[in-house]
Order: sequence, then structure tokens, then C-alpha cells
Amino acid sequence: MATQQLGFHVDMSVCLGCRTCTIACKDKNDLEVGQLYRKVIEVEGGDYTVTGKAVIPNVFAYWISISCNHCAEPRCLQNCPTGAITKREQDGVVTIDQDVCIGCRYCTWSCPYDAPQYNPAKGTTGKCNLCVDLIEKGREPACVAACPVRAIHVGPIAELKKQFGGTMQVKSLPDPALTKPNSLYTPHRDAVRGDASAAPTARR
Amino acid sequence: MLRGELPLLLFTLLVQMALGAVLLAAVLPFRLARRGAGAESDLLVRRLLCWAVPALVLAMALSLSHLGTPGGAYRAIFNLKTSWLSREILFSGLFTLVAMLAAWAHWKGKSSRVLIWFSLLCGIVTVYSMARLYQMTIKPAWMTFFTPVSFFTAALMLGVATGALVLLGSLGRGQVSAETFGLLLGDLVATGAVVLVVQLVSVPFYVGVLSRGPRAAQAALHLLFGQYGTALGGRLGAGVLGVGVLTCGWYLLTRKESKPVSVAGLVYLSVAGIVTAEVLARVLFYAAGISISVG
Repeated sequence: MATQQLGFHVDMSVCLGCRTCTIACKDKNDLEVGQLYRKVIEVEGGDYTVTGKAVIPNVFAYWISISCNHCAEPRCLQNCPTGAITKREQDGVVTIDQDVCIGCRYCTWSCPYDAPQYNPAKGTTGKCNLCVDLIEKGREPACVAACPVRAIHVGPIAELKKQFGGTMQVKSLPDPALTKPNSLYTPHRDAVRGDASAAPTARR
Repeated sequence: MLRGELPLLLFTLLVQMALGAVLLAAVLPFRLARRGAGAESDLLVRRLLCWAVPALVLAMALSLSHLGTPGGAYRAIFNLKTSWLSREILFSGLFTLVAMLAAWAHWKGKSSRVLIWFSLLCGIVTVYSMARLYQMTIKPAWMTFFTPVSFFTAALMLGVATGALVLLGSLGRGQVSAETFGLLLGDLVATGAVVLVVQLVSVPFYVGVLSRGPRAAQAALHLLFGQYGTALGGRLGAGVLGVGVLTCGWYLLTRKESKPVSVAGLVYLSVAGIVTAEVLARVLFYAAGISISVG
């Protein structure tokens, strides 16, 4: 158990889906084409009703900005054969040691959030490390600092919970019981997990 | 998915084939002991090990080629405490090493029985670890009972195919008698038939589990019966053909109306059917690996 588990809070109700967080993360981590440590998933769906000659649309769309959730029970860490993936004692951040990783990609099969990203040029896998280098300098992670609507927040997860509330029970996200992720979402009104009527389609 | 994982696909099949061959090498001397066919038994065991060892060496090379940093492969056994992949790599390495030692001992005329049984144990643990590591992913089609069933039945089926080829080769060179050939071919037919029944019976249960699973499981099912429907039909048909043709060959032999060599064509056809079925089964396995992850 980390001394003070850090994590993200994302306010989906204000997220515009602009993907500035993705670009900032990509720039900070100097990622190759096709690799995203933070991505924005667009979810859309809906139906329509016919009243007389009128067709009334009832559609929705929302965005989920997601990265590694620095889970309490990270399956990537459990499955990693080399021990390259570790969870830091002081803040619970899950990191991949690039000098130990051998690029077997088993972590990419193990993460329900698609966080680990294989880099063929380096022959290793990387992922969000919560910009611990910036946090240690008293600065915010790249995605948090770049968000134009301040939808992403970082900090001790217990404090974020007090400040913003939030949940991981969000439509389109896997069951949090699987890995116990340390992120919080304030869901968009159409993303509140309940009795799902329409099956939404998701695209990155 | 499929293109990127070809080395792993071949790795699993080769290790399973080697396990089947080593299993035969372990039990065959007991089967032939009563008949006083020690020389034939020795020869067949040697031939089976000659199939198993190169298959394992090739499998290990393929597993290395899958890594982004092959030079660090030794680090893959650093997390035996929690990682089934670590365990699989350790035991596949041991399996290869002990099978090589057994083949060497056999070649030198020394007793290799203990080594063969130890190799068999390593092979069983390897295939079990292999199945567990796929079950520990986030792909519902791999997280079911079907993964170990599929892997162990593949090992037995490929063992039957390897055994049939070894028997036929030895018969052609006059190194085993027609009686021994008929006896062991009958054993292979019986094994193949039982394994085929297990494979066929497990399919509807697997479909039931997937149909009750999350969306990714249902999407996998949709793929298996849609885009990969032909391959699924081919996999089941080739399996039935393989075992069926081998049964026909054995039946013709028991009627004593045909010479063993005349059933060679049927044995080759059977082996082709079995190998095709298991390759298609593994292709389908990887194709169905749809993740529950978002995006």
C-alpha cells in the first residue's frame, strides 16, 4: 500500500474532446506515431423516436480522457516476467524500468485500460508515469497543465475524492474490481453506469 | 493480432507437439515390454526424441524472436513469484534441456528413462503455465476453461500425428514389425478418437461461456462464427478427417487384406488433417483474443 497514492481526476462533464492532453503527453514523452500514453476515447450512440411524420433524434456523445490508472492491483505488474514494472512505495505510481523491460508485450495483454504501449524502435514498452519528474519539481503533469478547460487534476487520490467526488463506474470502462484503478471520473450525464439501454460505439 | 503473434503461435504448437512426442516416448516402452520388443522400442523412442528436440529448439528460437530486446531474455525468469510467463519460460527452457539430455543419453546407449519422465513432467508444467498465462490476460476468449483443454488436447493430437509418422518411417525401413506397427497404430487411433471427442464436446460449452460473457466475449463469438466461420468449420472438419482416416487405415490393417505399407497414404493424409486442424485451432484462438480494454 502506497504511503500517499497519487492519481488523476477527470471531469468528463467539461471535457471537450480536444485531445490537447494527448498531444501534450506525446510531446513530453517524445512518443512515436501510434503510441499514446494518454488518449481520448470518443463514445457516441443513441436512437430516435417517430411521432407522426416527425423523426426525433435522441443522441449522445462524450469523451473519456484516460491513461495509466496506477492501479492498486496492477495486473501488468503481476504478469510482467522481468519485474520491470514496479509500484513506487512513496506514491503508488506504477512505472516500467526501460533498462529491465525486454519488450515481451505481455503487459499490453494484461491492462484493461490499454495503458502500456510497445515501442518497436526501442524494443521496450512504456506508459504514463504520472510525470513524476515534473511532480517532484513541484509542477503538474503535462496533460494536467495543458488541458484548456482544466478537466484533469492530479494529486493524492483521497484528497481528489474529497474535492471532486468521482468514480470509476463509468460506461464503456471495464469493471474497476478487476485491478482497482486509482483514478476518478466525474461522469458525463450519459456515461453514468446504470441500466445501459443503447450500446454505445467507442473510437479513439 | 495474428500477423504480429506468428512466432508465439508457432511456439505454442511446437512445444505442444514436443510434449506429445515425449509422452509417447515415455509410455511406449511399457506398451512394448510385454512383447519383448526392446529393440523396436528403443528405436521408436530415439525417433520420437529426434522430433521433440529440434521442435523445442526451434520453439525457443521463435520465442526469442518475439521479444523487442532478445538480449535481455534471461531476465524473463526474474518474476517467478507472480508471473505465469516467467514460469512458462523457465519450464520450457528446462523441458528443452532435459529432452536434449535424454536424447543424448539414449543416443549413447545409456538409460534415459528417468530423464524422459523428468522431461515429460517439465513439458506438462510448461503447457499448464502456457495456458495459465493466456488465462491471466484481459481477453475473455482466453480466460475460460477452453484454453488448457485446447492446449493439452493439441499436445495429445500432435503427439498422435508425430507417433504415426515415426511408426510409418520405421516400418518403411523395416525397423519395426507389421505386428508392432498395427498394435501401436491402434493405440494412436484410440487416443486420437478420445481426444477428438473431448475437443468436439468442449466447443458447445465454450460457445455457451462466451455467449454469457462480456461484450468482448460476444464479439469474439461473432468473429468465430462470422469472419472466421470457414476456418472454424475447417478446423473441426480437418480434425474429424485426420482421426477418421487414421481409423480407416488401422481398420484396413486389422482386416489383414492390406499390407502395412499400403496404408501409408492414409497415414500421411491423417497427419495432414490433424496438423491442419491444430494450426487452424491456434489461428482461431489468437483471432478470438479481443480485449475488454477501451479504445
